[in-house]
Amino acid sequence: MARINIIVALFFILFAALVLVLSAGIPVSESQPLTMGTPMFPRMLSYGIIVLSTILIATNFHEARTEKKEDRKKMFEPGNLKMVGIGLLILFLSVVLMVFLGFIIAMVAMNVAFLFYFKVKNKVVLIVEPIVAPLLIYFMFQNVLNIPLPSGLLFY
Amino acid sequence: MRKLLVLFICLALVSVSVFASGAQESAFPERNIQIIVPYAAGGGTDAVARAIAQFAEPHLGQPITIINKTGGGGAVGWAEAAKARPDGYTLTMFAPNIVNLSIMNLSPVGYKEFEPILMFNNDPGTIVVAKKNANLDVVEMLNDDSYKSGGENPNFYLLTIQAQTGVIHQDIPYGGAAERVPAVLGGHVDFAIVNVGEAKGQIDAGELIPLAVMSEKRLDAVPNVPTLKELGIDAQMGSWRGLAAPKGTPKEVIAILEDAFTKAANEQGFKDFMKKAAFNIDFKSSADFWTFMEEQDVATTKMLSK
Amino acid sequence: MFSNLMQGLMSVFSNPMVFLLMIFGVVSGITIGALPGLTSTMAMAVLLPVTFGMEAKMSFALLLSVYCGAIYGGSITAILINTPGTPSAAATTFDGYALAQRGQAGKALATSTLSSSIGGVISVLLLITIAPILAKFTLRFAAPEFFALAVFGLSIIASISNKNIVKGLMAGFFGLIIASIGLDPISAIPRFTFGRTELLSGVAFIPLMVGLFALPQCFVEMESMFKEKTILKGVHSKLINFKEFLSILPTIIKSALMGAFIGAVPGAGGDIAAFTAYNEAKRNAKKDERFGTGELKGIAAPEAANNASTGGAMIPLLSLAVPGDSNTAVLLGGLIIMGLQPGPLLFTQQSDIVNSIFAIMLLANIFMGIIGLAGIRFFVKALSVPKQIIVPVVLTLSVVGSYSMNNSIFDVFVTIVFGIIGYLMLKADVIVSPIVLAVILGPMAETNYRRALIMFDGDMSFLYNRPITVVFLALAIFTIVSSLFKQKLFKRGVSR
Repeated sequence: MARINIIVALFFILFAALVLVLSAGIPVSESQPLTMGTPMFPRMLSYGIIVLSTILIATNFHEARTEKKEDRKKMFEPGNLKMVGIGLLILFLSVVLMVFLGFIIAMVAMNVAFLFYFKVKNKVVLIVEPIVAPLLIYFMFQNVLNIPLPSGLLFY
Repeated sequence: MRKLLVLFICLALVSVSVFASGAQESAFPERNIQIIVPYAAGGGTDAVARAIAQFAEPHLGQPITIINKTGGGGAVGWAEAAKARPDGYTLTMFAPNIVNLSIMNLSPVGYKEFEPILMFNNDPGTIVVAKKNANLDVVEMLNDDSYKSGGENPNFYLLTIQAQTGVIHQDIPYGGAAERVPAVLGGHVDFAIVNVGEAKGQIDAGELIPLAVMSEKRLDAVPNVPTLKELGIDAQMGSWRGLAAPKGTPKEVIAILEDAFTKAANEQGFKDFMKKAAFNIDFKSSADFWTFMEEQDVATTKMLSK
Repeated sequence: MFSNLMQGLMSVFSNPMVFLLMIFGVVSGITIGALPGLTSTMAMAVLLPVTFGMEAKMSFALLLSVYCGAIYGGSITAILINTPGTPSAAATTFDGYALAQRGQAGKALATSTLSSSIGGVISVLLLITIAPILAKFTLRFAAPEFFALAVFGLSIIASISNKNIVKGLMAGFFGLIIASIGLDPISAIPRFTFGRTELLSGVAFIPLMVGLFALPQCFVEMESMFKEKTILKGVHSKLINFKEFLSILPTIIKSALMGAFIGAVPGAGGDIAAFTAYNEAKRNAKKDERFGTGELKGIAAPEAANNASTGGAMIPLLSLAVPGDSNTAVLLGGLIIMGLQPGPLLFTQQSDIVNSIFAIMLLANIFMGIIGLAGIRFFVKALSVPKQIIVPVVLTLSVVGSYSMNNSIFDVFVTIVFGIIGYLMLKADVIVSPIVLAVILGPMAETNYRRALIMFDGDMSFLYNRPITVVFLALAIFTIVSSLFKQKLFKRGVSR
């Protein structure tokens, strides 16, 4: 865990540095001199993150060096990362598809894609779930709650 | 070959014009109409939109859907509405920020990107103080900078007054009326400027005292309260709501919408709703609404440039 | 006092339609609360125009039942799939999901149902008895007090990050920076918006929460999709027994009182109440109680507190006409449309309607308990649905939930981004709950600190010369210090 902690701390320091850089571009309002200024709050928080990350590195440094190779914990198993990555891609593409083709088509497609991806063999499930789940949700939002869902740019 | 091409173009033009005129002849509206409300469900603007939608449906013969699209003090919803096809099927609710935000460079679109349809109400700012300050002279208070105000930032009500008096009060920034009313009640600020409807319960109970209203005429809801104009400070500012369509919407369509919504707004049921919710009815036709916003634009720009 | 309640009950019982509306309201409230991304505010706003034509009593039967039901409903998905249906149920995931994972979902749900119901009832009783006094007290909250309350809420981050406080605090600071995106609440200057209008009012909270909780859970399920077939063993439908109930009862009562008080402070709602109660229950834990591993008290405390906040929130609404949160803002609209003007006069001039409101809230909380207990058998069935089906369904709901909050595709992408962040944090053993707490409380802390600076002309003595402020700041320091001590002891215990 010690090595992972150090990596985490480095990522947080990077984030804080980014916030500091971005906050340099925020104008300071002069109409109310007592308000501490717009960029002050995020800036203080960034310094806080840097201090905390340094503490995290300091407390884990010794352990990370002495940790035996076989005790080291891995953040990701390679297989897992691939599994999640493809799932994320399906989700992302479906949302992009939703912008153009509307909620129903995109979500039916997403559900079919996931069922195939998860190797569901049962034909009834393969047909029923992707149709019933999005349509039921669509009906509930559109007709019961009166909240319109995206119909896509290609259709009215 | 060339003849063929010309013929083809002619045919295409004819069919397009036939199609277009056919589309015009069929009566608007043919399908449901959306109103984009740039504020959260449950708020004042949302309540007015839902109420007018209910009464306008029979006049238009089509269902009306309310879409809440919040963010940026209204900028997100208006940006979305301005992008919509200008065919009269997507409308939006207007509030003072449609004028103010673009002056302050906080919104990509302003009222000039829209065609106004109808204005519903205009609630003037009402200066309220806590019970213990009931005997304060309001003109004296407004001319004495030791009194602290609580208002939104920027506080257009107070800026309007300051433009007349030249006295700068300390203005502690608060959110909506839900934050300003307790701040006055708890004595954390000396006065606040709210709409009567937002403080009616406290005013009726005598916990909050309205000292003056920022309108041309006195208000029906609080007839004993003088206007600032009567007291010699000509400062008028209110919070208003109306309906608009994206720029480029055909004139005929705007006329149909204006007619239908005016009929709906004049129904007793809608008026009752406005009265119960303590909104001050101030109907303005499409043309008058436009002039009104132009005046607001000039006044606010002048105020902020100071 | 209680004769008022009796009158209210009588008038409610005289109209069977009110009953039907309440049952309909509770059931739809529970459903809406359970679905991630759908909130009670949205449900009430949608139902509000429906109530235009109704009699006042019926309108409130519907709106208040939805309100109470939705706050409870959020705990169901928190327990079953580790995804809080509403922000108020975020603290319930700690022990609720852990207990369900041990095969005792029924116990977890029964605890949350009973706690919610009893918590709600207690808050209504408080509302009846001390509303005017408490309302006057909350008026003493000015900017310094709100700032101190927010800081105390934020200090709970230290207490909920049991494994590693430093990492928990880092997550909290990250959340505070995320909360600072958008227009600066004091000077109205944009921060970190990258020119996007959508970001002017900040990262929307519901999409963020769906992203942090629902998506990482789906990704974790994907990891092990083909690995082993772990079917949860245990008696899922078994509820809690009387002895267990008695052991959590003191926690319920204490949490309900805290929840009602926090709910009564304008601007603080069920979410803060739940975290505070959880923190308090955990602080008082006995030696054999391990919070975070499925402790019943860890479910009872947040659930009793968040439902108790409903009665608390009604206090400033009815007696001051000040809505403390978005839910009560909708209710205020409902009251006004009915021609009722909340405020000090409501209690004297319209006492019949006030009595009916008390009776309706009381009954709604009782119905909620009965319907909830009866439904547990069906809720736990969700656990036997194979994850190959659950994952796509939850993802579909996440997309629709984050979209429909503001009809915005942008928000769906916000959800995906925070889904990735949440997953990475899960893998790196950084808990995400501090982010939720920080996003809720960050703006409250910053706005009120800066407002106080303006109020007192830059003089910072408000931090130590106002009694309520001092109490909350002291509590905050105490929470952080005691958490640090506990962590040291815990580590020593492990190394031995």
